[in-house]
Amino acid sequence: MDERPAGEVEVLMSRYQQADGEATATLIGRLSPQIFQFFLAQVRDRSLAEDLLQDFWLRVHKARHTFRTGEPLLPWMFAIARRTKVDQYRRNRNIKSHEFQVEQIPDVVSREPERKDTPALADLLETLPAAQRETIWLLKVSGLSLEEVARATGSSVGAVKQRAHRAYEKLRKIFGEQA
Amino acid sequence: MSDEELRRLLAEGTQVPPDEKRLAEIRALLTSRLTPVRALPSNPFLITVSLAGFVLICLLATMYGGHGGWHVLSPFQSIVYFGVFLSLAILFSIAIVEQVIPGAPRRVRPGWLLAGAALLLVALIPVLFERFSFNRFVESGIPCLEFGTVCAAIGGALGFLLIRKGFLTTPLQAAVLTGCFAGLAGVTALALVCPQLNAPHILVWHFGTMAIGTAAGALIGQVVEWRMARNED
Repeated sequence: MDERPAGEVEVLMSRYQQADGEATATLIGRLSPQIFQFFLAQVRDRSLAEDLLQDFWLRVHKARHTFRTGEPLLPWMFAIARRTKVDQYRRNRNIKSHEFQVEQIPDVVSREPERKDTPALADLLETLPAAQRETIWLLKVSGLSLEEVARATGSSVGAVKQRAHRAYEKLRKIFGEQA
Repeated sequence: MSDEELRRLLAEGTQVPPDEKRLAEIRALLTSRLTPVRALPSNPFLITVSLAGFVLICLLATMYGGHGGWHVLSPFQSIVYFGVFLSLAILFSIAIVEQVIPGAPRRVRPGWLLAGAALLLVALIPVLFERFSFNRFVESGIPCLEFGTVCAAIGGALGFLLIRKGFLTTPLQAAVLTGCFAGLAGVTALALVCPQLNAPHILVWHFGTMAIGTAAGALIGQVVEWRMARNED
């Protein structure tokens, strides 16, 4: 996982607000992989994740005046990313209702799994409820702090801790059963 | 599974980069639209603006309807009644401002605030108002509800001006809070204007303004959610 540069992305964001094209391009290059992976983990479809990434950046562009210098950028970005994902989910809900049915039937925990020493990350995360999956992803993959995840998800630090704890417990249990 | 194994597994999930061609498209799209923007003012400033709007509505209401309500209240009633309104107005302003900044820390939980405000106002009635009568209940109540609703509508319009400055990641919550806050402005205006100290009258016709404001906010919030999901915002 990449080390998050302290303050660098915030400086780029401030320059983006001042219409600095170079800073904007750099910011997109720096943050897109992280945001893309966040979408990919949720939707598990590369093409859709790239569409979401584009939609996300258009929203960032529209909302860029709401970022204030001195505030951390990642919670701000991920709050917008979450909203982008929620809207996509609702947009597709009616169109692809059959995907719901498929999602509800198989349970990775209960089905007969292929014996693997290490389960694929996506399969593992798929077994978690959406809120826990998102929390674990933001905490462990995107590298946000508890406070930043709380800000990005609009919940309390206590709630984030609880979700992360439950997700960890569940992942340990699943891994134990699969190993 | 050890924490170390889990961490390693999670770290492995960060290997998939987005398509470079798509990234180039995004860069081109955004850089072609660049214009300088000024960041929103600080939260204290936005909260002050919101409270100023609240006070403005109350002033306009008393200019139009007089201050019959203010004169009939005892000092104790005035302090408690308007103290609660002002406290709620401050909390609602904070909550609304926090809603319009993505990723802002949420010090005031919307659900708790709405539930707390409703319980507090209902609990105030038996403490402050002893009179209990249904005489001419509807005839005297409808004008109050109308007056309060007009004040709330003005408050809602001012609230809309405030929230449209931000970017909504939770439109439903923001709209419900704004509607309830606008309703609170209507209730406060009625408390200043209406001389009736009858508990059922205040509970139904005054506080009803807040219920209408909240319901209207919820409706508008749903429409905004729907439009955002369709990418029409």
